[in-house]
Amino acid sequence: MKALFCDWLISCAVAVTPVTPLPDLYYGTVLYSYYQDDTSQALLDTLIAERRGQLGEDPVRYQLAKGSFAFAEGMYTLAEETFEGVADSEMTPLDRMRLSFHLAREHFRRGDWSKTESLLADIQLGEGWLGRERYHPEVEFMRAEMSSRAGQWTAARAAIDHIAPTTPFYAYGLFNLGVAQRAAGEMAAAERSFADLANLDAYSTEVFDLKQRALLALAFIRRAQSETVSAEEILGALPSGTRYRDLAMSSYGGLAMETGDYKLAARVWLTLSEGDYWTQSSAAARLALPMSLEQMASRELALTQYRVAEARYEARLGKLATMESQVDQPGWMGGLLEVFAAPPAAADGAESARRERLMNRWRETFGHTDWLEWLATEDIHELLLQWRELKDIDAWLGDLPAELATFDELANEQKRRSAAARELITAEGLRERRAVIASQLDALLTSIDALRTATPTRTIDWMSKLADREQAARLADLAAKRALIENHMQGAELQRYLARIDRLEGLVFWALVESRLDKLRALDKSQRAAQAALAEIDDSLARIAVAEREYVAGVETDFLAFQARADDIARMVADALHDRESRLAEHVRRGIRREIAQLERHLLMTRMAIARTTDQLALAAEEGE
Amino acid sequence: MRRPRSCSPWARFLWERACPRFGAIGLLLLAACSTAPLEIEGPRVAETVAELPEVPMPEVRMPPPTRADVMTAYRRIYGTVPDGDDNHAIGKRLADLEMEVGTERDITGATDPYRAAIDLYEELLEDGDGEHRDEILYQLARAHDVIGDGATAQRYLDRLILEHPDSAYAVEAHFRRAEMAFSAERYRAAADDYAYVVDHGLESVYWRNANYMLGWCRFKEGDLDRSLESFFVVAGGIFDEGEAPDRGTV
Repeated sequence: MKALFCDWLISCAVAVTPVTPLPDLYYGTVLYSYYQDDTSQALLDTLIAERRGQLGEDPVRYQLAKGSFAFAEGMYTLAEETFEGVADSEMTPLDRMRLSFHLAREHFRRGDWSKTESLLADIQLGEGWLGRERYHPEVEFMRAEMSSRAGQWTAARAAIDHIAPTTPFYAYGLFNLGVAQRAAGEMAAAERSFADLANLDAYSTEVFDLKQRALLALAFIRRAQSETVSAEEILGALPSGTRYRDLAMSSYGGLAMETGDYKLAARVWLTLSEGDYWTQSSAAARLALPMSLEQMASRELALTQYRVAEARYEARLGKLATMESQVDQPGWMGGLLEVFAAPPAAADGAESARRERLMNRWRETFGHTDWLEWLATEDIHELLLQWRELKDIDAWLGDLPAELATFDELANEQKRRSAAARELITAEGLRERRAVIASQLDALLTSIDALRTATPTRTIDWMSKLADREQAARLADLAAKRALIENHMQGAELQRYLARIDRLEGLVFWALVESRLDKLRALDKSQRAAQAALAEIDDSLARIAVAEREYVAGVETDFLAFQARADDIARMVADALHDRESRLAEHVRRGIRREIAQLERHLLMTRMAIARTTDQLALAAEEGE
Repeated sequence: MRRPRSCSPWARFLWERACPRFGAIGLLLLAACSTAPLEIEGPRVAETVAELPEVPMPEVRMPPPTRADVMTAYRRIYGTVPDGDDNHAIGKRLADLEMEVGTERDITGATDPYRAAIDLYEELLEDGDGEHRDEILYQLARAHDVIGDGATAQRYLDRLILEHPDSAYAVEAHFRRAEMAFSAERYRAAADDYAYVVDHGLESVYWRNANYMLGWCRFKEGDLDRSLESFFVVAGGIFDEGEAPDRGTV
């Protein structure tokens, strides 16, 4: 997929004229994610770009890219819908071939051979600039596989020869062809395929590993053809440091048995059977050791070793039975899968040591590392990746309580402050104080208004509004005296005392007129002070109200909703984890059962050998008598 | 075999394809990608094998296994071996050992001493494809004959003669059946089986006895001349070898 997608990129770089910067930048971002092997991010970016209408100048290519990313992410429905959404008339012949390639690749992965074949037939890349036919390695690989399945070895080989020998597809193609030919009994053809792969230069560990496998397969074929010298040469030349060492040595031991070199065979079997490590080769070696001893030593020694082998097989089978019963326990399987958990971003020495201990523990539990291979096939690998992502989410959710506790503390603090604020309102009598000040302010405003607006007149009404306490008392006293004079005096005496009262009121009046400006300034000052006090109280009340309404109530509600949502997600993650662990457990169980079946065969053969040897010893004793 | 996912060969492929378009850039990228092929590091398997330690071979002394030990060892596996031939052979050996046990029990006067052997032989007989069916039929006839069940013994002899005419046990089966017929005074039937043994030549240990008994059958049937022929053959053999006549033993 990457090749074709890159091809699109190359085509873009060559053919597409400069477009507006923003879509191009975004397209680049998508590609960046893709080149980081982060197809999920690439798909997400594509969907966002689509929503924003930033598909660039070539929406068809964009849709094809989106479909490809969806395919890579296993979202086949989305991929198919996307591809179907691209009008046929919009696509160039090359686009159609790309689409066929993607679909063929997916059908190949699903094992739908007829659809794969029909789609592959649509892909003809034609000639390159130099007139040479152009081939795509993965297309040719799939063609070779299709031909192999049909037993068309020549066509399969021709397709493989279209692949550059430096690509892993060439090595995989040859190996798979050899395996198919061997299974079909075409030993000479299989031998040629394996030999070609064995002679190939390996530029990657992947191909290097395949070469070792091809050499092993070649040795097995030569051995089956009784070409023991050739088989021994091939096996002997294999490296001791690879994972095929035991298998190669086991074959070496088998060859030694066939040629009658039981001493050499016994040395091989002894080495392979030492320790408590249980590979296919070491399991077989435990039985093969007494078989070779039977040929070169006493029957008694052979019988003793057969019994040792029997005891070891029985113990191992007991252990496997226990393990099989434990596979369904979530804790057990989860513990095993911890080996595959993503390492922390900043793994230190202690973390590395912990991981090594974990690996060693499971190696000891299983007695081998074959389980790593059980969980290494492509389909299971995807399951493992899903498990790992779910595990990360689970860990994140696991850390949430601490964060939620922080939120909880925050909410409690807000509650505490809210309560304190409410208490402040009560304790300091803010509302009562505000009422008093407001009343005072109203009085002040009335007085100021009167002073400013009313024209000075020598009336009690005007004067009483401006008079201070002393002046007001004097004015009241004069008013009382005026009433007394008017009631009890007459004539000139009346006039003389009224004139005197007028003069005294006049003194107050003029004093009031003179002090009017000073009083206005004083009243203004008091009014400003009262307004400031009132504003301060209003501000306090407003802050308390906001604290109550926005912070306390808001945080509390969000926190609860978030916690409920987190609980839902945690449950879903736990279910998904359980599902993945169950499916992975099934693969582990199958592996364990395969080993059990193999060991049961070995145990039975050992018991048959014990019976035979015991019988022979008994007969020999009878003959001796 | 899974498909490869390695990035570098992909990159190389793309660069190879890109070269015609990008010229020098493609070549540079290709050059950057090229490395020497991987070589084997460390010792080879042959070298490792050459360094393997010797196998210690201490002398092991153990009491010789008894028949019971052997039977226990066979019983553990009989019926569990997936290969039918192997399983049948194990059962056959076990039945033979049971027959030996039966003989010992017969001597001690035990009741139905061959029951275990008979049951096992009959079980083996039900396996239509099993080997040594003639021998099993012979052993069953023998076991039943020893315990006095002549009718059953004869049925097995009949089957042996009918189903395995070329068996190594065929001559003896005819002889045993002739003996049973003679005891039952069915002289013509006995004469036919004795004649079969005689016709199969001197190599048979039963040849002389068969001749002798064939003479008696003819005598009983009143065919005196032909009975004399048989007796003369026997007498001639005895005089040649100076041996006493032997009727054979079961």
